Amino acid sequence: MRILVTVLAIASGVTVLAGYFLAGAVPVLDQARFILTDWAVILAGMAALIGVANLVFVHIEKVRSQPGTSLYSAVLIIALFGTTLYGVIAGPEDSFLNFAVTAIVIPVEASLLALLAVTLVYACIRLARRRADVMSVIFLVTIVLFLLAVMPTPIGPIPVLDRLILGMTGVVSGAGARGLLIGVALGTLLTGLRVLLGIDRPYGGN
Amino acid sequence: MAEIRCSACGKNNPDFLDSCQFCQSPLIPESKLFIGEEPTKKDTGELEEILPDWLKDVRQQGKNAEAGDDSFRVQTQPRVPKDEPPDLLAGLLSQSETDEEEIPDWLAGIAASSEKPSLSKPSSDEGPPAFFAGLDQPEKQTVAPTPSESKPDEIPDWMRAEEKTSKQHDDLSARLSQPSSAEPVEETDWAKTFASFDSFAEEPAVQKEPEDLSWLRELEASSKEMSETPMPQARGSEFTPAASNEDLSWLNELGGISAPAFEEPAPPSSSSAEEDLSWLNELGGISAPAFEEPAPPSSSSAEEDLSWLNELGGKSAPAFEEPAPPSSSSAEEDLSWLTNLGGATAPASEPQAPSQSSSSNAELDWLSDLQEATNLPSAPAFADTGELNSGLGIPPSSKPFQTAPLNELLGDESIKDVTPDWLKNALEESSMPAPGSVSMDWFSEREKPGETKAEDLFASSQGEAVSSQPAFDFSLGDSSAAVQDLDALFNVEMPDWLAGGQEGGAPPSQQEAKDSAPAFAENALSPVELPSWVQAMRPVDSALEETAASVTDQITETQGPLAGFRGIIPAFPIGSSLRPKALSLKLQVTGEQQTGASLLEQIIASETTVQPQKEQAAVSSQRVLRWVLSGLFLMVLGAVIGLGSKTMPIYASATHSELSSLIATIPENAPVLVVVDYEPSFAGELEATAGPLLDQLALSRRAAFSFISMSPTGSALADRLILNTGVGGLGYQPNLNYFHLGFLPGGSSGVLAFIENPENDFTRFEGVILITDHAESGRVWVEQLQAAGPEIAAKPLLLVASAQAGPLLQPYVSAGQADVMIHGLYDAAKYEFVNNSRPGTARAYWDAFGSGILLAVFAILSGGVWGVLMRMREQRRAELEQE
Repeated sequence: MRILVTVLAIASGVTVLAGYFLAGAVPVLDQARFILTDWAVILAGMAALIGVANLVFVHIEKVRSQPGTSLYSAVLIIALFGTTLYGVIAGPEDSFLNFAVTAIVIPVEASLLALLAVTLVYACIRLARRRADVMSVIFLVTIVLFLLAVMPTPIGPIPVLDRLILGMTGVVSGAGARGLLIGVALGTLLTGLRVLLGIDRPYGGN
Repeated sequence: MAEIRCSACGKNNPDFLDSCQFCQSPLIPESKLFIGEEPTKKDTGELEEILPDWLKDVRQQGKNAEAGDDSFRVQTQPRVPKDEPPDLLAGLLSQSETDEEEIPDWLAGIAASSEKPSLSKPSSDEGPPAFFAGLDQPEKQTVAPTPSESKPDEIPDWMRAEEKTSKQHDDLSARLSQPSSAEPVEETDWAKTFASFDSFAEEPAVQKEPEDLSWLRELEASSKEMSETPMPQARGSEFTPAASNEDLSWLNELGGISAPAFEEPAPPSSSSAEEDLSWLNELGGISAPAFEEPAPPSSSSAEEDLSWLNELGGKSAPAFEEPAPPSSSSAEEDLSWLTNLGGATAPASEPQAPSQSSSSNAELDWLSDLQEATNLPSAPAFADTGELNSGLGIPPSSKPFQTAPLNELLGDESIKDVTPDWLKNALEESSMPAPGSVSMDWFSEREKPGETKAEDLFASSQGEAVSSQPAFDFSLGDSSAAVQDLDALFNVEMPDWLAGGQEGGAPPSQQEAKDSAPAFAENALSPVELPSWVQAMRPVDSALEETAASVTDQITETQGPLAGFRGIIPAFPIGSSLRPKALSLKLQVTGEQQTGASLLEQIIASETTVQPQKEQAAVSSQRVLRWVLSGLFLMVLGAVIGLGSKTMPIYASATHSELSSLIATIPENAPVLVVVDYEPSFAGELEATAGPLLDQLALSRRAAFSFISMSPTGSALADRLILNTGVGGLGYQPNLNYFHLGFLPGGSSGVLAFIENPENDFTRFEGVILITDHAESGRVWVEQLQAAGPEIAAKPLLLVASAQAGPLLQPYVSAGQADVMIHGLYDAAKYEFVNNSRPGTARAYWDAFGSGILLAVFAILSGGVWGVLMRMREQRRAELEQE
């Protein structure tokens, strides 16, 4: 079984890869690549449904085992099934459904992100007290300078500091971002090769 | 004769020499004795004639004293009537009388014990020893007189077992050495058997090597044993004097083995027992008044006549001499028994037979008779059967000691029929004990007073009164001329089996020498260089062999003051192997290990120690700080937003002008793909960021938006985006001016499938707007669009990213893979300013955004300064406390 799974995975990867390079020369490979890609999308969609089903089962079990302390689980299950049912019936463009998203989901997540901003500020205040070393000082100075650079001021942007700081941060951040992206690309390539060669078997073939 | 090649000179030497006769180098490595070496058994028969005078004197004195004691015991003991006729060969006669029934058992036992390859070699080319040929004849003829002396019932079962396992001489010797009173008869039987064969075996050895008189010593020892055994009641303390005297007589017994076999056939009912014993006393030249009484007239002459026999080496033949005293008055008469010995024609019942030989040429005449005796029909036991068979027609069964031919004859059924049982046994097994196979513990037991002696028990069982006086005492009247005569007499080539028998007789002498060693030391012998025969007298018992075996394992010291010594320091720990090793009570650990151990101990202790829960103060500084910060941000931002302040100016940049020019290139009413790939938490930021772009497209180009979501909430976010950006106010209707393509799962695969799906017709989109807060999703779209082909790659790609994702997508913009990127509220406000401040969302957030950043910077700076001051204060306080 493991061999069969491995063979299927490698064959699929090689087919898609070959379809990229030989799309014009071998139309069959291109067709196969399309089919395999569509299958992957379908499988990914099913994975989302499987995740939702898992969430439902977990909270149902929690309600069953802890009836007194599983109020939130019960609310989650009810909201999930109610929204899903209403969305299937009314459609995604329904105003009530949009209101539910706008009035519940976005404020909740936005509030969490706002708390993150306050927490970061608090952490920076405590940093000087907890760890007063060079790196902490550099970190704090960098934050202050960048905020000052992007901070709208009543007088407008700070004349020299605006260009200097944004220029420096752009260069530094750009360099770091390029390095990260190159690393991600190399990692992705290596991972693809390992999967194609059967060294890594994330599909359960060990 | 075997030869030994000298390792030094390479010349051949007789095997009986220890040293090379040419270069005097030792031929046998064992002849050298080193400290700590294991003693080996040696045959010292060749050294008999070179015994020092003092040693010979000691031997003679011992024999005299022993003879005196024996004669005294004989007088005090009741005479046992003997039926044996006064014949010299009475012993042999009685031995041979039951050759088919009784003797074979013990004979077979000895034969089995003496099984040896050399004995089985036929010597047909050699003439039979005349002397032994004559010995055999009387055996045949004297069977009838004593038929009832030895019965098959007298031979115990264990003896029969011994016959089978007779090769194990140690076992046999162990049995014989046991002073158990329950086995006296058996031991005596063994002794008789053993002595008889050894004595017979010694005689040809003398013939073979004239100089080696050890066999005569053995024979003498046999006669001594025989002389001691007939006293059934003279045991224990009565025997002690004799035994003590024998301490010095052990030398006479060198190489000799007692020959009680000669005594066994002696008829106990003989009326001439006293006379028989008297001649024994006279034979050894020892005064034995009790024995001389029956034959007073012949005492003097007997001494003279038998002196040569004494010089022969003390060969014991008490049975031979018994008939001599009554009638022999001269030397010729005394030697006549030898004539009978060779002829063996006189029956055992004829005591006068020895007296018939009265030749004056005693020594030579009887030798001639001996030769003639070989021609008699009754072949002697020791005759060379090959010659006898050919000349006299003697049946093959009559040659008992030619083992190998006998073995060959064993297969002949016709011969088996006529062969006596004892000869059958002899045929089946060798008739001679292996050299050194006979344990001489029997002699050791003799030395112990008060213990039951095998020979005594045997004598008591037989009821014979045998003198303890050696029949042949070579120490008495040792004459070189007589020795020479005897050498000439037996100067015939000895059969191999007899040579083996001679070798086998050597160990007993060594054993006796060992037993007599204390007496030897008492004579204050000077510590001269040990000759080989003295070396041979060293104890070589099995016990010593065991120790010697362990000696070989010992270590010879090579360094230090003990260098050269072996066995000084034991190679193996004595008693310490089982002793437990002493272990140090102090643990050998390093400081680092101790530190680690203590740390581990502290960790373990802290795990088990209940930590007191700290009581949190109702109002802590941290909590106050958090509340102060939260309240401050809420009040400031709330005030700015609530007041709708737009005091902070916005300045446009060149980037935003370039974006407006790019949007202007998009055809009108062209479909534009809008990818919604952000979470609801970033909806406020991204809606404000994407608002100016969508407003410009909708307002100036009337682009048809196709929304595709990369998250499940994307469709709802898209509707909110249309609503909040003011696009909906421009007359855009769902499914008319903008479309929801739904959720696109699968990540990069989904993007690829969406781009390459012909049904989607991706080429119809004039531009792609990617609204994302994930750098990963931006990378996927950039890569897949670039990989979709040049046509698709040429489409304008506009990136709208959050402030945190912008820097990671900036490289794609810088690389040209993305045309324009707007990230964060900072760029959105500027682009909105370029777009005539439409839709105004960014501008509404701009003052609050500035106020919040300013507040954050102030909080960070103030908190940092406060923290540094507090830390400096604590350090100063700590320094003050230390001071």
